Amino acid sequence: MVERARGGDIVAFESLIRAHETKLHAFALNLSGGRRDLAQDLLQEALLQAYRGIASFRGESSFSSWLWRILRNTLLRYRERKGMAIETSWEKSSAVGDTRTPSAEESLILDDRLRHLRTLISLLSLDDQEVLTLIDLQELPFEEAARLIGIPVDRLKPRIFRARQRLAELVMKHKDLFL
Amino acid sequence: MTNENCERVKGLLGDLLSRDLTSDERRMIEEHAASCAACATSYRALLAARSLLREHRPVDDAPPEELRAALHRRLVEERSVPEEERASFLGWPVRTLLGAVACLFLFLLGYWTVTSFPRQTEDAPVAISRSVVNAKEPLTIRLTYTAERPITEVFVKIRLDEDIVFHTEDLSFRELREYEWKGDLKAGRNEIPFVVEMRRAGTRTIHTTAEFEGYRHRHDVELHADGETMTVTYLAYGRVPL
Repeated sequence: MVERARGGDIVAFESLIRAHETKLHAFALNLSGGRRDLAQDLLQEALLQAYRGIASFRGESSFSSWLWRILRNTLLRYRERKGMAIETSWEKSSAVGDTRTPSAEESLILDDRLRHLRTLISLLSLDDQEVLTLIDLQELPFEEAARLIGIPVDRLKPRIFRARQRLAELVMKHKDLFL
Repeated sequence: MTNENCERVKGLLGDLLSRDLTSDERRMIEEHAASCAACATSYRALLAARSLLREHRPVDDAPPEELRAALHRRLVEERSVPEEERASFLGWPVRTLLGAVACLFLFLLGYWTVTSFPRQTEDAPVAISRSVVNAKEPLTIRLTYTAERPITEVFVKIRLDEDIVFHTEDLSFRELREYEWKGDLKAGRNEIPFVVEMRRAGTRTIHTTAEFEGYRHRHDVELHADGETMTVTYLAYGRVPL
């Protein structure tokens, strides 16, 4: 399949990325502060880059790691262009109408909080973001997250510890968003 | 409440997302929070954030179908001829056939859209898209030609393999094996559907060529019928000089 994709076969390439696209999209979504339009633009750009560069994929890393690095670099370039600040939205969602059921209200509040959490994560360094996103939001096993990032598992554990501490500082600073 | 207590508690709160606090540490926070509103709200906020991190509901993060479609279009364009030469074949057809086909739209289940601007050489086709459809139903193929400017004198030829027929009640079309069309394409999207059916299982091909501005563009539609399903693969070849 990789060989066919290297030859420019679009169907083969699309088949290859199919197994990874949900995780990649989730990663882009989390690292863009939950902004779906931005996440989709970044993912599309990254996959286009992957298609252009698939001839350079030698199989030394897994295909998923290779794709993930391309997405990460795409995001990095975006942040450099934008001077780091991904636009964020701080306002709380509008009040829930009377017609909504309590469960819907509860669901909205949870969605809101998750969105705020993603926004706060997007304000951290990219190193912090990627470990928090992969391990805490996407719930990847440590081994898989370490493989994607390209570091040993024993180096990943202190990194996630520090990233969570920095996230905690941000949560305390913006605690009103979670109350 | 003292500043010193606040600092100690804040240190513990900073670890709340990173590790499970001991029972003594939790008790210290809660006792302090009972008399310190600032630390109490921080504690509640962090508990909420921790809950989101540890127990957040799975969200549907699958990319939407529109993203797949947009990526597909860009991949196809990536394989296209240079911008200034872009002019694609996607369509052909025949006014007289269109009338018959339009009536048959009501019956179709298979539906397929193709767009192409291939750069491959003639002997190395590239699969642009692949779909699986119901083999028992007529298949509508939409050949779409997107031109950045009007193109005159376009010559399109379509040839059906054995066992593929146009789906029409007009017997004169049912007997057609080849059809040729000459005409102009307008700037923008030129979309022309035609409907075919396959008479028996197996692999057959619909061959199409479009000639304009000194080049021939070849596209094949490969049909592989196997029982209930039919796999439809659109293959694009590189243009070649006439």
